[in-house]
Amino acid sequence: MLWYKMWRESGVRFTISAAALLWMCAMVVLLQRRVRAHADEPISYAHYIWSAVYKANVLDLFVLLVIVLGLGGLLQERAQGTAGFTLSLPVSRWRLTAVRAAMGCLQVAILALLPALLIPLLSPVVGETYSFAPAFQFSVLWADAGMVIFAMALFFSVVLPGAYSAAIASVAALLAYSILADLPPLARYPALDLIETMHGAQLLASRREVSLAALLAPLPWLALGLYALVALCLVGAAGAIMAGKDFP
Amino acid sequence: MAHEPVIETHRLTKHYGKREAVRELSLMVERQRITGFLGRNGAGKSTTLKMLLGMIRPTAGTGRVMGYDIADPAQSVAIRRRIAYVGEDKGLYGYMTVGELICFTRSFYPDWRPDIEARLLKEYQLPPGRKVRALSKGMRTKLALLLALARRPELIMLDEPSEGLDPVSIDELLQTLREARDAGTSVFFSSHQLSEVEQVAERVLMIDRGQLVMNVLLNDLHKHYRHITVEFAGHTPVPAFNLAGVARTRVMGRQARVLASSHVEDIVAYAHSLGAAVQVTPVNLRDVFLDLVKEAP
Amino acid sequence: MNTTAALLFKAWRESRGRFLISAALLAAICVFGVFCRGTLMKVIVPEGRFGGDPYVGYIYALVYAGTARGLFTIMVMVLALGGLQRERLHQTLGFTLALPVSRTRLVSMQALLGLGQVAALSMLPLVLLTICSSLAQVSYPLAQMACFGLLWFTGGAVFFAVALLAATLFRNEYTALTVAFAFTIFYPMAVLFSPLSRYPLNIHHIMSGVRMPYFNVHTALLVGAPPWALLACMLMMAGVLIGVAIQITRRRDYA
Repeated sequence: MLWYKMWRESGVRFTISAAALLWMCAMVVLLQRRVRAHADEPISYAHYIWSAVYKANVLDLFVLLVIVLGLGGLLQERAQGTAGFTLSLPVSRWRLTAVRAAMGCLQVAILALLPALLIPLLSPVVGETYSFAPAFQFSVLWADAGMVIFAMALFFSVVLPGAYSAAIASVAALLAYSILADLPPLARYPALDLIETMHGAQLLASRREVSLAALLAPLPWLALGLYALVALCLVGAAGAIMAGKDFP
Repeated sequence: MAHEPVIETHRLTKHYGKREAVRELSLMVERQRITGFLGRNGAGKSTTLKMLLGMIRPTAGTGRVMGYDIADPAQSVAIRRRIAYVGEDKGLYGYMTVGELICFTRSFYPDWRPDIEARLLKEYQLPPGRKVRALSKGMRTKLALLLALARRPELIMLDEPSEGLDPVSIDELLQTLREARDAGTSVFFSSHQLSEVEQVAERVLMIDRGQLVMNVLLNDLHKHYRHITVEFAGHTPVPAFNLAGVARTRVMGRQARVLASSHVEDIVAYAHSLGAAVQVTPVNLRDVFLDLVKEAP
Repeated sequence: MNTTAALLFKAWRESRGRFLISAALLAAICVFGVFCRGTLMKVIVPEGRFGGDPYVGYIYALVYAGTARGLFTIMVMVLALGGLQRERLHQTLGFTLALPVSRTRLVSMQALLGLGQVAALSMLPLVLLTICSSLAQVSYPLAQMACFGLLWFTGGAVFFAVALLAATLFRNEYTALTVAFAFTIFYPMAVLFSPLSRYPLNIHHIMSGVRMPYFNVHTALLVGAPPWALLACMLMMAGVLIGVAIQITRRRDYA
């Protein structure tokens, strides 16, 4: 039933997020002719999808929505007066954190999958094709990196009081990290750049011309494994902090 | 003047979809009295109070507080300027200190009495520098009372004021209400703690399923209300007891239990005329409350 | 304290943490941006991106069009959240609604303080960049910073108003945040549809000058007079959204 509790507490956010992502992807596909006509130079449909979905607008939306999914938790329950009830349940605080994290990661994975489902299905409507394979590749990248972002928001929601401080801290941390990742010495390790990984930087030989063939390069499994580990560490840290916290 | 109503409602109604929270409630609360507003959980007490305060708009009917129309937003502000309210959860801004919250609240009431504020602050031993969220429930209640009473409101409305308080705090609360009444403030408080209501209230209004089921002076209740237990022998059918003064009848097997508000002798005589054994017992508020609102088994 | 001051004090205390964190983060970007420009310039403005003064192009890319602007947009939306719906969750709603002030006044004061905070954040880069640039012996035109501050305030006011409306509509605070975030991404897409596409309605572009007639993309400088008519329309839109939030609050039952 803990899963049910976590779902009820995040279900509305998740549903709105899913609807928003689907709508955005649909708009990207349906507006492709107009946007490509105004581009500085001709671009292929694959390149357009990459730049509008996997590099910009939809990615930005995904990141923000994942941060919101990570908010909440026991500190907010304390503010709302339900922490006593939750903490009196016969479950450990570790379990509470773990189930919340697991539910969130599942939701992140589903959100990451949505563009991969919709774009290939909708592209024929506008007379274009986009195969599932590269789309699913990006879903894997987004799901993995998204879990790091979610875990970061969850961590901040455990350490910072206030309903919104965690959101601001998460956005700021992400922006700071994306700048730092471009600086030497971190710039030498592109796998460390979370946002670039989500762009598919390691999949593309060149960003000047993105083709469907170019997107079928092998996934950066080492980087993805590292991200999963970072996400796990952040959740673990959150769990440890929550386990030791007083709720007077 | 002494007994003009401070609160008057006429067929006040509130629906939430198909659910009737308050149904054609017509009541009157007299000035400079302590009036208890009783009911089970979910009877409509809090909904009624919130309508009077303008937090909820009535579906139908009218209400006036201090002569102002509760449905008019501008008049609702005028109502709130002259009355005080202490909510059930004693929700106060946790991020402010006691001192800050007093200062904040004071700014809304030109008739604030600094002398009463100082006296109550000392009497309740509230530390001005402490954050409100660090106060115990009892201290929060005292703070809420201070904020309510430090301007001598004409009416104070309280929603379950003793909720969560220890017996000492409850005793202090009731004493405060008596003192407020003595100083000229009308008190209207909702509760389901009958023993407390019986200690302080002069008049009792009882609501059940959104409707008023009783309106009586407590003295009259003790003086005139009686339980009449009527035992029927053999196969005599148990009659309906549709007589003057009968507030409620419960039939359990061969026994009828009548709650009588008046005409006790007539009811007893009627029961005797049917050959039944009759026993008459005095009632307290709890007996009346249970009789009126409890579902029949 | 009079009632206006009291209500502003309440709104300030409820948003103080968020505002100070936002200000600190914006300040950090400005300060580090100036003093670490040697390293960051190569990353943020690769050679050839802008003609003219490289420092000007760099500050534009870092602050007025880039990281800081994105953060500012998020922050002003977060500043708008809370209000009576949040008080319902925190069980202080009864106390607030029992105060002898109209709901219009309650929401107006919250909006007023919030817009003041948006204005302060809009002008923060001007103050810090001026001080830091002079300490670092570089310069960024004051008039440019003032104009960008105005553009930020106007755009920020619209985002603030959208988030305030979302916070009024939705009971759950995170739902309001989700909707506000979704709007900030949706809106630029929505204005690509005709007939909207004929008008300069992309708030992000208005704030940064991108694809606007009052911005020179080669020198990264604002040119000509500020687009007063456009800014007035945006402020009007913010006012309308706040007005809608007030009306909804006035009519709502808070059971």
